[in-house]
This record gives sequence, structure tokens and C-alpha cells, in this order.
Amino acid sequence: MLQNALNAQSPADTLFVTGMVTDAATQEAIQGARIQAGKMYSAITNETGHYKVRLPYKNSMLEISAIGYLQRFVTTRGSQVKNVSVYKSSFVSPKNNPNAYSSTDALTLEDELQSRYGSDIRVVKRSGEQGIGSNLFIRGYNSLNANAKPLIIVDGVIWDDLTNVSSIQNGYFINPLLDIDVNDIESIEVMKNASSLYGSKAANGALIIKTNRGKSQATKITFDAMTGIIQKPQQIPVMNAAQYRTYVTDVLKESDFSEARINNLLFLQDDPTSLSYNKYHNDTQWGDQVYSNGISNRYAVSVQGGDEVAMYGFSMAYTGVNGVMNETTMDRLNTRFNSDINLSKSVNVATNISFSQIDRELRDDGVDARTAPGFLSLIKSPLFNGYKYTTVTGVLTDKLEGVDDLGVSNPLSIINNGIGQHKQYRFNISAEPVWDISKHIKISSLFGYSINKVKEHYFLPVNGVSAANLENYGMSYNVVKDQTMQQISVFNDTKFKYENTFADVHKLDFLLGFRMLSNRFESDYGEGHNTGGDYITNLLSSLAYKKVNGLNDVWNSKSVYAQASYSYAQRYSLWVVSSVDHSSRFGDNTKDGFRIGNDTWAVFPSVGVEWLVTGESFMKNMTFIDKLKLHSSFGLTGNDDIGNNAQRAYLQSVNYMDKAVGLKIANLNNPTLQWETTQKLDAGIDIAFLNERVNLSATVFSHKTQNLLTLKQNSMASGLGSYWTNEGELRNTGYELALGLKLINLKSFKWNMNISAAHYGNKITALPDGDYTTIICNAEILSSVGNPAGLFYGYKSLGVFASNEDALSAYNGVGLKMQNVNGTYSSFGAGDIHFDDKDGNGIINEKDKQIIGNPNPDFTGAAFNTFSFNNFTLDVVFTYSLGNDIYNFQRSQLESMSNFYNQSTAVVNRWIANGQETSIPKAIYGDPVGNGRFSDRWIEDGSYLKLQNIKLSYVIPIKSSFIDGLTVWTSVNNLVTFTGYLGGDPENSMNQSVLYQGIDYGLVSSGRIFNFGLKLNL
Amino acid sequence: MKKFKYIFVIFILTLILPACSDDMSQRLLFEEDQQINTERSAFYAMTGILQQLQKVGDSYVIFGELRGDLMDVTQNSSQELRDISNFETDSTNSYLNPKEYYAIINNCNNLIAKIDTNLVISGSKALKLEMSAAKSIRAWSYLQLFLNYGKVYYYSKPMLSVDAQYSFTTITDFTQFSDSLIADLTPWKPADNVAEQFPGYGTIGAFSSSKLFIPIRFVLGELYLWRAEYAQAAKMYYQIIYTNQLTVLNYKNSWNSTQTGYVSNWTKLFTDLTLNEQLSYIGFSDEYANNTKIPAFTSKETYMLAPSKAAINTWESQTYSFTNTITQTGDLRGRNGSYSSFSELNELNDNVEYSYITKYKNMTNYVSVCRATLVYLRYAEAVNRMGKPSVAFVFLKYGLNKIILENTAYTTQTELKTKEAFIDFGQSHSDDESITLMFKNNIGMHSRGCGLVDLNNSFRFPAGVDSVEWVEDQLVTEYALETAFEGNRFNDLMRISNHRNDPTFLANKVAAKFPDEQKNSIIQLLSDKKNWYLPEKK
Repeated sequence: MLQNALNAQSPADTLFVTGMVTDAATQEAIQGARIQAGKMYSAITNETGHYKVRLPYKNSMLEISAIGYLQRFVTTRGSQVKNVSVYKSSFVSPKNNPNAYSSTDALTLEDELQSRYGSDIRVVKRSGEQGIGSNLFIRGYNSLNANAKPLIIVDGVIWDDLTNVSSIQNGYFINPLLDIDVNDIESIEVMKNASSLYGSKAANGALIIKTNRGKSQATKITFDAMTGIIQKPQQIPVMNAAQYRTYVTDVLKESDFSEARINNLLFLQDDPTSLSYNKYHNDTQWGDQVYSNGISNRYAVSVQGGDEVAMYGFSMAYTGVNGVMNETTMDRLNTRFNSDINLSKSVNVATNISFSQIDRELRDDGVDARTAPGFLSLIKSPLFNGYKYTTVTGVLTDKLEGVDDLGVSNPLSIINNGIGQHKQYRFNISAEPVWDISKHIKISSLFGYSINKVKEHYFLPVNGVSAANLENYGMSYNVVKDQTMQQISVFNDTKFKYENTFADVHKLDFLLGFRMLSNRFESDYGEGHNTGGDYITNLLSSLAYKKVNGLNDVWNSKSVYAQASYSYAQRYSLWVVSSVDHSSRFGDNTKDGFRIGNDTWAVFPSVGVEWLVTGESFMKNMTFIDKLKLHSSFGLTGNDDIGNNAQRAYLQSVNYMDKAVGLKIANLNNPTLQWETTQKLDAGIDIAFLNERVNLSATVFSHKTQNLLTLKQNSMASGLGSYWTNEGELRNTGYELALGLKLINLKSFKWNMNISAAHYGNKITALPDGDYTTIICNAEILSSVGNPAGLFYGYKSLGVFASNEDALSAYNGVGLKMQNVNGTYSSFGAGDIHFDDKDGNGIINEKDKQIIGNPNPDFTGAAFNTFSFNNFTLDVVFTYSLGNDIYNFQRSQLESMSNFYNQSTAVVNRWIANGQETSIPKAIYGDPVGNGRFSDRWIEDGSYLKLQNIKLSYVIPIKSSFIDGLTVWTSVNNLVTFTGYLGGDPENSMNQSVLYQGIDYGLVSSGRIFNFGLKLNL
Repeated sequence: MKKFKYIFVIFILTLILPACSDDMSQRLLFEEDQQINTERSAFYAMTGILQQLQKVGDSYVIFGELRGDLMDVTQNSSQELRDISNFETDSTNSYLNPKEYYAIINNCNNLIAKIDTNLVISGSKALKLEMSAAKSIRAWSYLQLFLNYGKVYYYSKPMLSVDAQYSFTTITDFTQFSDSLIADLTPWKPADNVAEQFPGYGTIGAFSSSKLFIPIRFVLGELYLWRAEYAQAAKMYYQIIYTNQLTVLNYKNSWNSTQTGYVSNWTKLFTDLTLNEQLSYIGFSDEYANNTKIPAFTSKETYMLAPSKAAINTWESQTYSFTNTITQTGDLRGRNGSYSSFSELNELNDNVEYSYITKYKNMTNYVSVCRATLVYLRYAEAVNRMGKPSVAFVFLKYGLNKIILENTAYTTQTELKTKEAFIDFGQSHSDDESITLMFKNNIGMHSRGCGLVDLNNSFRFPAGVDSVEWVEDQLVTEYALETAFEGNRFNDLMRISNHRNDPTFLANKVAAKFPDEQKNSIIQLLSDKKNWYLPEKK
């Protein structure tokens, strides 16, 4: 080959370049490195590392590849000698690492996204529940009320999944990405620029996932095994028995308990000879009763291989988890079979078949004082025990205690006698025949079908669970809930592709495609109360207070798209993309778009340019810059996730009396309802210097979302509340920085570091009916023009009144007061919170509310370090978020001191005596002046730096004809989090809607996970 | 390739296993797909209206009573309820619900526009009854809106598009407003002396479905009465009385013979729904969280709405007659039917008596819209205004029947000279004809709580007063004694003030429940009619 290149006839010597390829660490020459110039010319280095290669044109680019080394691209910049040093492949950037997803400890791919794609995508883990996944946001929030998560495309098929449906299990999220085994992933691409290839579905960017396929004919078998220990979660520390007794005595003083009743409370009686002494004198650590260390196991086998006719990749994996909450489990089976079959020389078919089944046993999570064992473990008095003592001898038995004397459920009853089945199935099949019509033209048609099903069954027992008074119904003693959901999606993407290179320098690609996605979704929900006992756990028609509802939805979308790209000499490139989309969700008289027949079509054009500055001759002498590339894109994208029927007039079924069903007008036709339009502009620079030891990329972006989906009041006369319209506007601007450093490059020790930071600023610029607030978990979330989305809006606190004089001096010597529900007034006195009387009228009311927090972070990102020493590799990953506020809803329940619930240890410092300076108000039953109201007392800085993952792996050097490779590894997740946040974990999210961000619903926090694994290649 | 097939089989199996299907009931119906051309589809549309009617039941009672003189707030009442009572309701008050009324109207409009009244099943036009029922409910809703807000947004075609949501006429003139409704209802009114029929859905919840509708004649009667077309009004009410064979029977609360205890029969009018006393009500049930809150609000436990001092005085100041000489004070429909008392220690350790409403303990899960006694009272009001005060008065004292009406000692015969068909309680019939027999048992309305009123010699026309106005005063009192807390009071006072062309009538009545220091400002406020109306909700 080298000989060929050297001997090649050339019109002019200037079209040759010679040089030497060396190892960047050792400076040793590399033999056998391949140098590719354009499509036509290549060379291989000789034993001295030298090469000579012909160039297709002046200033063309060289692609240098050598086994065990990172591929490197260099520009000749008009010079005829180009020496290149290359780096070992351990310097691969985390997102380009081809082995990124094999032998991972991640159950769901979001766990890998955050560390590898630090500034490209913001990943907020929902909770510590294994596999529950994360909320994903690319470049801020481009919507307020519609979906704000990126589009997910798996092997070319759009996943539009179980949209906006929720689990009946409080605090659980149905995560569609859990249907993919992370080890099956070959690559992930995060699409975040202005490209409108996915038109009305692309406003929030896209996550393009490809799964493993057979690559070579040699059969490759891989066994994977992993086992992990999941540590108990962090909880807010709560008071012990002694502290609680003092506390509850304080609260009882003001309660509606009569003196006689208080005197009869057995836990306040300290006679150890009393028969019930044991029952009431425990110091139970409820957290230890409810949570214990969990275990996760994963076994997988994958086979890849094939022949000239067919290549295949098959994998099967089982994952089993015993959750940290006792009795909770997850069992997952993933199977996947991908094949590529050559039917003829020019026709091949790629098929993907996968099936996943997830069985879970769950319990309610989050702030639920009746049904969530986790929350109960915080609020349940430590004086009680979960198990009964014998009455006379006072011996602890294994019989569960009932509801305690203070009316609090026994979390152990819910754990042991409750039911929380969740079953999730997904079956996907897709086939894509590709016909190579000529060297330049290809036609393909991808057909995909998926069925996605969720079945849930819930039972909350009566024994050990406090009864609930359901407003307008009556008392609920136990409850059964059932939910079934099924979605069937059919997808087609048919493409015509043309690509050609003219005169070696003009590269032209053209793509024309048609895409359609149609969905059928059905859900059925039933609920009934009071089964009569805990032996009946099924939904029967005889149950009380029945509720039934469900949805039958059909929606579909079509898109015609075209993309043309042209590049000249690999230096300049330009692409133009346009997609024209229709969705059944669009109204038929929209402001934008055009109509064909009854269908409204939206148009999304976009354009992008790139300039490789270092490809220019004028950069010849600026050799300290290895790479300088500028890029920019501009375009329109849309969000079609505006509700399946929001634009149509429809009637909804309503239940009337005991069994009648009626139909009522529920929505007016709004023919102008359309997609949200996000205009995107970005510009970036990629720069590399110090022989590519330093790689920096920076991008700025500016998004403007118009036609924001917002609610607007209907006219009074229509009799309806509000309708969806496109009248708001939202902006996101920000930047992303990524720095890749090959910090240490010694022969046997290497340190590769990738740090990133992203910032977005979000601002609502128009709303149709003006500013408004939304109440979520007692909090008010403000949507107001000129401000970011999701602001916390409430009262500002200025401390605790140490004395009555202090309280009186707060307003004209008479003190502050507030109006009660019944119209009378109460005064703020000593030990109460001094709320800021913004309007200075002496009354703390609505008008004193102000912005008290912003959940949007200033920066988010990650630092990914890889250290390699011979066969050892150590990955150390930090993730961080800076400057975001969190509303700690759980803590607000643990420091309000208004009832008999156990409280956090912080309340030990509560105000007790006149003159006492403290930040914690007094404990008072019922909280008559609302010291616990939504205020900045519950808003905390949610900044954190987390040692997210540390992983050590060792490739055992085995020389065997059977074994190709054996790697053992160990990793720790969530090793340490540096934060001032008082809750369990600053990274949490109860809901993926924009307005819910930054609200800590007290879901189980992520504990440390210690994993051990091995991977065997045959 | 053999291996492939094998793997395929596994996949097909796993696909089939989870794919068991459930029933496919549709929960959303696109408007354009809705056709009301079968009994079933008409039932669904009608039930939707009835369910929406539940949403106005509570506010019907609260606005109708709390603004009147008979109901008052308590120490437990919210600021919003206090505002309603003090005529300081602002536009954010959550009890304001014009929208809920318009939702009834729009759903009625939709049914009326879509229903196929020509559908013939078993030889009869099957859906005509739904049509008239919807028209009646729509007119009643409009009337409530007009009375509460002083104006309506009038439209009669369904509003189904956001573009069309401002296509209505704002009407502030009652004559113009009632013209439209009367014109709309009259063709659907049954012929004279023919009983009105309602859609027959059997029993829904605890109720006979036919009583969940509102008689067209009742709505027409109300409209005519407000228009001061008394003869037309009296005719409508009479037609209800006649065709439903309504009588004022012995359902009274009385002292027992030894005067040591009570016999409570009056409450049966509210508990026994098989009687034809309750002609129309908004029904509720415990299912689906749509129940009325009035029983809870008025209960001893919640205690947010209470009888006013003025109401208690009205009952307590009546005379109960055992004979023409032996009397007691107090109407037994008060303390023994409409309210009760309990005492509690207050903060100063004094025993304080609290009165609470008990009427809704008897009215289980319904809000009464039209009941027989109310129809009689309205009838008497209209007849009195026609210039027949003695006929109206015998209704109170003796009972409307042939014997009484023909007795010159009780009834001024000149009032009967005109022989209107709607003042016939048997007079034009022989003594044994059914109509005569039916009304024979009519007793004096007032005796339901006041004993043998016909023996009470002091209950009679005083000398030298306008007898129409005097009888009307007695009727206003009787409305209070009999129909208190049911939701009619404020509108009754409004109507009579209008007929007397004297806003201070209402103002003085309402002021009676306020403490002395507030009375004058209330009188001043309510002497201006524009303060009778509620603000539109924001």
C-alpha cells in the first residue's frame, strides 16, 4: 500500500504530503498507522513511522488511525510535511467512548447521560428508586405546559410513550427508558442544535439511541454479571424518644385534647410496672424498620455474529433488585434480537425485535402521612413499636401493631400487608429494508410496531393504617386501585437518499423522507374503598366510593422532510433542513402553517454552517492551534405535544348519582390551536491546541418559544373554565462549555479529564391572561411575564419573635396579625415567625407574598476523569448543579410543629421561653397563625457537587484460545455529595412538568451503591 | 437461519401473553360525533345536564337564604360567607357560580339543537319529553341568573367553539328576557288540565327520575309572577295543583292532646319522597363526590349557616291555637322542624345557646326546587295580587275547598264572580265529584304549625288596612314559616318589593337580622336596587 502511494503518479508534487506518526507519550514511531486523505488516497506508515500520501486537493484533511490509538484528524494547511503524534484510546472523550454502555452499572441510560454528556443535557434524577430514571432537559425549558423533555428515538423509531400518564403508586414514575437495557446501547447522540429534521417534535431536542448490532462474522459471546449493594437512603434526622416526649408535651398544651385525655395518654405515664409500659416506651428508629440495604443483580448474555447473508446481535439480560424499602422489588427481563440480512447484492433488511418485562413491588413514596412508609418512618413517634407486646408479660411479639394512640399508621403494616404491583411490558418490532439503487442512491423504509402495557394493582390495608375522611364521600378504611394502560404505536419512516462527491472536493448529500407515527392509547382506572377486611384485596363492584375513569386516545402525525448538505474540501459546510408536519392535534384554522384538505401542516426550516478555520492555508504558521472550527445554526422547531384533543370540541362522560353516566360539554373547539414554535439560534467554536492536549468547545444559544401553549379563560357564557391557546412566549438563552484535557500522558499512566458547564436563563415574555400562580404541594409557583418559569412565590420570613415586645414592635406597637378562615383575626406573638409585611398594613395576607426562590440552576455539568495504569482503569465522575433553589416540602412537614408527628432534630431548638433567640418558632397545635405556611423557611439552596460514580476496572491478562477477554470491575455510586441542602438528596424531581422542578416531594433519596462486576468475552 | 425461527417463536409467545384486552368504553365523545337520536343518547345528554344541575344546588340555597332575613352566619363561617351575608360579596367569592348555570344552559342548548324529536318509538315521539325537560331546565337556569345578577348572556344555540363564545345577547330588561323564555316554553307546555310528563328513567339514586326535572308550568308561573301578570301566573300554578292533585293536607306539627309533647308530621313532607309534596329537586348522592354541602354546613358539627334571630322570632311570635281561647306562642314548624338549639360553655364559662338548622337533616341529599306547598303559596300570592285577598287568606286560615270558598263568612264572593277556571276548588262541581272531594281535605296553610288556626279569632283581616297588602304580609310570613332555608327567600323579598314598588320593603326585612348598629347601613344599602345583585365572578 505504502509502495502504491509512493509510486502513484502525480500531476504535481505539491499534492503529496509526507510525515511521521508517533505515540504522543513516548514519541516512539508507530508502524502500520493508516493515513487516509479524502476517499481515494491512503497510506500506511512504515517501520520508522513514516508515510507519504497523495492528497485529493490542496489543504485536504488527513485521518490517522492506528490500533489502540484515538483517531486523529489533521489539516495540512498547505504544508508538505506533517508529523503527527497520536494518543492512546484511553483518552477517548466520555461521550464518544464505544464501550461507554457495556459493563455499566446503570440500570437506565439516564444514569450514564449525566456523567457523559454533562453540559449537553441536564439530567435530574427523580429519586433513589432503582431504575426510576431522570427528567431530561436540553438547553433550558422550551415550554411551560406542554412536554419539555427531549424526543426519544430508538433505532430510528420515535418513542412517543404513555404520554402524561401517571402511576397509581404515589411517587413512582413509569419510565419508558427502563425498557432498554443500557448494555444493549451502542451509541447515543444528543441532538440540540437548530436542526428541524424532527420538525414539530424537536423543540426540546432529541436523544437518538442506537442499539448493538452484529458487526463482524466472527461469533462474539459476552457474559456479564454484576452484583450491587444499595445502601439505605439518607433521611432528615428526626427526634429520639426523649426529645419527642418533650415536644409532644408542648404540642398537647394547645391541642383540643382535654386535660383528662392528656393525663390518660399512656406514653406520658412513666410507671415501669404498668402493663402497657413497654408498648409506649420504645425508642424506635423507624427509618431502620422501613429501610434496609438493598441488593441488585444483573446477568446478561449477548451473542453477535453472522455470515455474508446475515449478521445478528442477540442479548438477554435479567436484572433483579431488592429495594431499600423492605418488600420492594424489581425484576426486569430484557431481550433483544437485531439482525441485518442481505437479501440480494443491493437489498438488505435490518430488523430489531425486543421485549422487556418489568415487574415491581412498590409502596407509596413521598409526603403522604397515611400511606407512604418512608414518610411515616419520619413522622411516626419513636415511643411506639411496630410490633405488639404481650399485654401482661410485656414481651415483644411478631404481631403488627395497629394505628397508634395519636392516629398515625404503622408503616410496617403497609409494607407487610399492602400491595403495590406494577407490571410493565414492551414489545417492539421494526424492519427496515434498504435498497441501494445505485452507488449514490438509496431508498429505505423503516417500519416499526410497538405495544406497551402497564398493569398496576394497589391495596392499602385497614389494619395499622389510619382511616381517611374523603371529602364528600365518607371514611375510607382501606382502598383498592387498579390501572391498566396500553399503547400501540405504528411508525414508518421512508427515505430517499442521494450522496455524491464531485471532483473530490464537493460533497453533496440529499435526503427526502416521509415519516408517520400513529398511536392508540387506552387506560382504565378503578378505585374502591372499604373491602370489609384485609383478606379482600381486589376491586369489586360492591366497594364503597367507587371511582372509574379512563381514556381512549388516538393520535397520529405525519412529516415530509428534506435535508441537503454540501461541503467543500471538508472546510466549509452548509446544511439546509426543512420538515413539513401534520398532527391530529393541530386545529384546522391555525395562524401558522398551511392547509391541504382538512389537514393543517406546519413548516419548519433550518440552516447550519460550519467552517474549519484550521483547514485554511493562512493558518499554516499558527501551528499551536490544532483545530479551530466555527459552527452556527438557525431554525424553527416545534412542539406538537399539546394534548391529543385540546383543539376539539368534545363531551366528557360524567358519573351521576349511583350508576348513571352522562355526557357533558367539556371543551370548545379551538381551530387555531397549533404547535408551539421554538426559534433556535446557536453558534459555537471548537478549538484544540497544545497538540490536542486541550480541547475546548463553547456554544451559545438563544431560543424563543412563541405560540406557547397556555390556558385562557373561556367566556362566562360558555360555562367552561379555560381553553388551551397559543398566546405565550418564553425565551431561553445560555451557553455550554466543555473542556477536554489530556492531563497526564505517560507511558503507563494517563489521566484524561473532561469538564463541562452549562447555563441557561429562562424568561417568560408573554402570557395571555397575565401572571398567575399554580399551587403544588402547598407551594405557589409563579408564572409571570419578565421572570423565569417555576419561581417560588410566598411569604418571606424575618426570624422568630423572641418576646412579646418584639412581636408588638413589628407593627406600630400592636404587632402583626392575620385573618382566620372564619373571618376573625389572630396576632403574631412571641415564638411566632416574623413574616415580612410587604405592604406595611399590619396584616399578613396574600398581598405580602413575594418571589422567594428560583429553581433554575446557574450552572450544571459534570467532570469525568479517567485514569489508566496498565490494565487498570479508574473512572471518577463528578456532577454538579449550582445556584438552584429547592422547595423542601418534606422538611416543611417535619418542622411545622403543628401536630403529633415526629419532627426533625432541628425543632429541639424551638422557641420555648420569652426572650429566647432562635430561628425555629414555637410548637403549637394546629399552627393557628401559619408559621408553617409556604415561605422561604422551606426554600433552600440546592447546589451540590456529587461524586456520582467511581469505577475501577482491571483487564485480567489471560492468554487463552477460548477467552477473548476478562474484565473485573467495582464501582461506587453516589459516594459523597457536597451540599448545604438539608433534605435527603438535592437531586430529586417529583414530576417532569416544568412547573414542578425544584420541588422536593420527599421521595426516597439515592444511597450509595457498591457494585462488583465481571465481563467475559468469548 | 434455523436459529432465527426459534427465537422468533419465543417472541411471538411473549407478545401474546400480556396482550389480553379490556373493554373498550369511550370516555370522550367528539362533539361532531354526537347524535341525539336514540333514547340512550338522549339519556346520556340529559344526565349530563342533571349532573351539572348538582353544581348549582348549594349556591342556590346559600345566595337565596344567606342574603335574606332568615339565615345568618356563625362564628365558624368563612369570610366569604360573611361577605355574602353582609352584601359585600366581591367578584372573587368562590360561591359565585354564573359559569355553572351557563354550563347547564349550554348543555341544554346542545341537547335542544341536536335532539331528534321526530324519532318515533312504539308509536310515540320518544324524545319530545327530553326536549321539553331541557327547555324547562334552561329557562329556570336563566331565571336564576337574571335574579342573581340582574342580567343574562342570552343565547340558545350551543356554544361549541372558542370563536363563538362571545356570540350572545346581554339582556338586562326583565320583560325582554321573559318574553323570550315564555315564547320558548309555551309551545312545550302541556294542554290545560293535562298532567306534565317527564322523561322516565326509573329510579336514579334515591330518587324517582321524573322529579329531577322542573315542571314547565312552574317556570312559566315564576316568569309570569315576576312580570306581575298575576292571572297567568295563578293559572300556571293552579294547573300544577290540579294536574298533580296537590292538596294541603294534615302534614302538620302539633302539640299532643295533653300539650306535653309534639306530633311531628310536617317533617314527613321532606323525608317521604313518595308523597307528591316534593315535585322537583336537585338530587345528590354520596357517590362520586358530588354531594350537597348544605346538610354539613348547617349541621351542629360544622355550624357555618344558622337560623337568624329574625327567623326564630318569626316562628316564636306566632300563636298556636288549641281552641279559640287556649293558645301557646310559637309555630311548631320552627323549633320542631326547621331548627333546633344546643348550649355550650363559652370562654367566659357562660352557658350560651346556639340555634342550628335541622331542616336539611330531613332533606337527605336533595335541594328542593319546587314543592306543593310552595306552589300553593305562589298561587295565593298571585291570586291576592289579582285583587282576591280573601281567597288568598282562606288558603292560610281555612283551606281552599268548595265549602270554604262558598261560605260567605270566609270568602268575599265578589272575588269569585269572575269564575276563573283556575280558582275552582270544586265550586263549579257537585259535592261528590272527584275534584270537590280532592280539595275537600285542604286545610289552612298556617295550621301546619299553628294549631287550629280557623279557631283563632285574632288571625283575621284587621280593620282599615289595605287588605291585599295585609294578606301579602301574611304570605311573606308564611313563606318564612314554611319554606325557610330552602333557597327562595331573597328572591321572594325582591319580587314583593318590586310588586310594591318599594325597595325598602326588602331592605327593612333583611335588616331585621342585623344587630341594631348595622341596621341603618343595611337599609340604606338595600334601598338601592342595584345592590340586590351579585357581582359577576372574575
